[in-house]
Amino acid sequence: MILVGSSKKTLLFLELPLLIYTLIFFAYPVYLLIYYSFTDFLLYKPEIKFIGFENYIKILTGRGTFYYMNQIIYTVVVTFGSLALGMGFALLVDYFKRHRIFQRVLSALIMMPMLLIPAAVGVTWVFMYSEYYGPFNFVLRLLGLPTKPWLYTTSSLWYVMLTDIWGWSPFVYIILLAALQQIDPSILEAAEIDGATGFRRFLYITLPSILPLIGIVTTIKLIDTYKEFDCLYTMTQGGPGDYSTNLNVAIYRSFYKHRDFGTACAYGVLTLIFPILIVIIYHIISKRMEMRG
Amino acid sequence: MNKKEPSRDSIYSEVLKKKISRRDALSTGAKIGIGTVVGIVVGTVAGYLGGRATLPPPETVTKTMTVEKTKTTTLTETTTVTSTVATTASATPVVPSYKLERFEGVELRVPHPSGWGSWEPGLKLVPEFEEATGIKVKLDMLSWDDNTPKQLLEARQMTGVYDVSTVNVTEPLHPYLRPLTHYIEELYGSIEAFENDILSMNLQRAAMWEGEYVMIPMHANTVFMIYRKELFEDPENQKKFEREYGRELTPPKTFDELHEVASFFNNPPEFWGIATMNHRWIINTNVIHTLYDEGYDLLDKDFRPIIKYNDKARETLINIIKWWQDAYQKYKYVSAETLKWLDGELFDFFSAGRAAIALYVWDDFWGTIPGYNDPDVRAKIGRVAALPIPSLNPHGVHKGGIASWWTHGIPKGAKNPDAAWQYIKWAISDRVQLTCATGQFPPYKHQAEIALKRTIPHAPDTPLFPSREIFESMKNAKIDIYNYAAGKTVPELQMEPTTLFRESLELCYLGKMTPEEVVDKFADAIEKKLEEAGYYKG
Repeated sequence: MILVGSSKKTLLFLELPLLIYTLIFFAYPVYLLIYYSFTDFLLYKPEIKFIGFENYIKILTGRGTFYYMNQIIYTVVVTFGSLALGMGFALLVDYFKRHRIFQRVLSALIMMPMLLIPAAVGVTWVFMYSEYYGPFNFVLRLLGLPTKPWLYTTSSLWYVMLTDIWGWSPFVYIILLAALQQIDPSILEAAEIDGATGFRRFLYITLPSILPLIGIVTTIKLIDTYKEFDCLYTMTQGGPGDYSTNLNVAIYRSFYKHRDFGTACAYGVLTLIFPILIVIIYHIISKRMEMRG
Repeated sequence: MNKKEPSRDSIYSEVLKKKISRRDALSTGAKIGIGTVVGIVVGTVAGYLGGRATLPPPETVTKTMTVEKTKTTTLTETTTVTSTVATTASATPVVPSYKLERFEGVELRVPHPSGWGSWEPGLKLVPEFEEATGIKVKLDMLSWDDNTPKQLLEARQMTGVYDVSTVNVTEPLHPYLRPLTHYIEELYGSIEAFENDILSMNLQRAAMWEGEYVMIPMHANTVFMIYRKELFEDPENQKKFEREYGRELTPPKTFDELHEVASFFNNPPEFWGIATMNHRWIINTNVIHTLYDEGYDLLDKDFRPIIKYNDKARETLINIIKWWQDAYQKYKYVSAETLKWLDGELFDFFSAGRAAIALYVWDDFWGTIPGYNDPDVRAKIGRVAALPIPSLNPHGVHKGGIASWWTHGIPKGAKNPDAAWQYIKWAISDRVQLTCATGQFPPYKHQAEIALKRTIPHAPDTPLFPSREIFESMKNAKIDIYNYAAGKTVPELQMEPTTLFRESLELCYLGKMTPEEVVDKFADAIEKKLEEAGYYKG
């Protein structure tokens, strides 16, 4: 390789485009985000004043902490819910590996929700939960049970979470299925001959084999779910009241409804904390695993 | 006849078939496809006169539009212009000539909310304007949520991207707009003549900045009630109602009557007494409509919340909210699901024949009144008529309520202000406004009078402007409340206080808060916000 033994200057020169790219498309916007979060930038006022931590204080002493909690609950429940369902689907499809056609049909059915864009998923599920047109309430009515406007209850966030889990478990499923199919079948067969039950085979062979991929999928899913906006906004717009409002909805509301760019930026800065923590935790765990060898 | 004119029938049929909510395309996303398909199918160019068969014999008036220097464009319009001067106002409105000037080679960039059905027939006439003036119009169709922030950002930076502004009069764009007073004087002959022609007296100050007009209305609207006429005229229903309530079954004019009528017809889940929409900004607007209709404002002259310092105002707002809470929780003639409804859902529900009355209908929903009187809908639910929202007072007296006003203006950074004025003048002209009257109220009295005399082509028994009562009520209507109270634009109202009010109302209607808590929290939020913003200094 030509580059082997190159000087530090050459390496720096080659890294320069990436550095410039990062500065322009990441560092500068983040700088602006942080800068404006310390101002009273209102779209309808010509002057902008520096106001220190006022926006942050307003958020953290107001409903901001509740929105943060909603965001964390949403992220954790949807991530691990998708993980459990995706894993279940993957194991089910893998179980039918000897019935190729059935496996393909099942796989196609499971993958279908991934074809829909999140906003379309949201709109579709608004109808699913509808008191008049929705199938859930239709069944309840057939059974003589009381119906409910599901998205207009104080538990609306949980119904959106169910939708999100339904929509994103295929993503987990497809990755874990690929991982399952990489496990050497002879190991599983040997364990079966030795008398290991299905559960023990899963616990001691399957799970450890796919654990690294589960780690990666969980990290990706945590960060991705943390950014959730489309589904939540189309289904509840943060309501009723602000029961299902998270930070992302709060940012949107601050900018588009209140024309308050300063507060929207402060919310934006606060949203950075969680992903940074996840990345740090992920690095710590990876390092420890490396050290263990 | 101008070959580019779409026929009135095609305009109506297009308007009728588009059932998407004007303010929230996302919530009715499933209908986008329907709108798109219909939009492609409809729009054939045909004779303007051809579609007028169902109208009373019109007096054909030839309007001569003088185009300076180069040529004279003559437009033939079949409006009964003689009726334009008929008005109930003390002074006769002046009908401007809307004479257009040529600006060869100039291009104007005009922002416009995307999917605004009521203005769609007007936009189809843009080529006429281009032909008459030599100006090329580049329409920038913005989503509803983007429309104001985008224009505010461009205007405050003086980028000159837009030559015209298109915003609600309450949107705080005023400091960034050029004065229009001299243009208006030129158009009307005097400012008094212009003010006499504006549909609502209360609009005037909202459109001004530092003593000058900076915005000019190009759209008016309000909320009203619709009801199924056949249900009210049915002899069986009339007998039964009289037996139960000891009075004649008539469309409700007060909230007490509304309660009786709604209870009478209510049979959920198949049939509901009332259908309404209470989603997002609508929920608080609806409540404030009744508060204003009782003669109150939101802020006093010192910008203090009246609902905090005037016991009667506080009690009135509490009563309004209590009425609605009972409607949802106690009597259950309104479904909680309407808390998630906008125009589209309301239209679908009502036109499917599942309610006797619908409240808070906005006419700029794509063809509301023509839509509810569409032959297919009529076959299902019979005739639909409109009246003002019932009043809280037992006498049925209306003091105004709210109205929505959209405006054009010229940003300070606009590159071609004189050409921009030509566009604005054209947009507010009779030609455009009466074409748009299929789905909105013309904002000028002389135009509204014409609309009142016209009928819907496919329903000749139904006036284009839903009813004179609504027209009269609109004359005293205040501006819808997002930003405006005490005769002044107060942008801070739109921020936390309005959001909190909206959220509190939702919770109240679900039985999670009391009306008293809602009102007091709202009043405190207003005062806190205005205190922070420096309104109470000195």
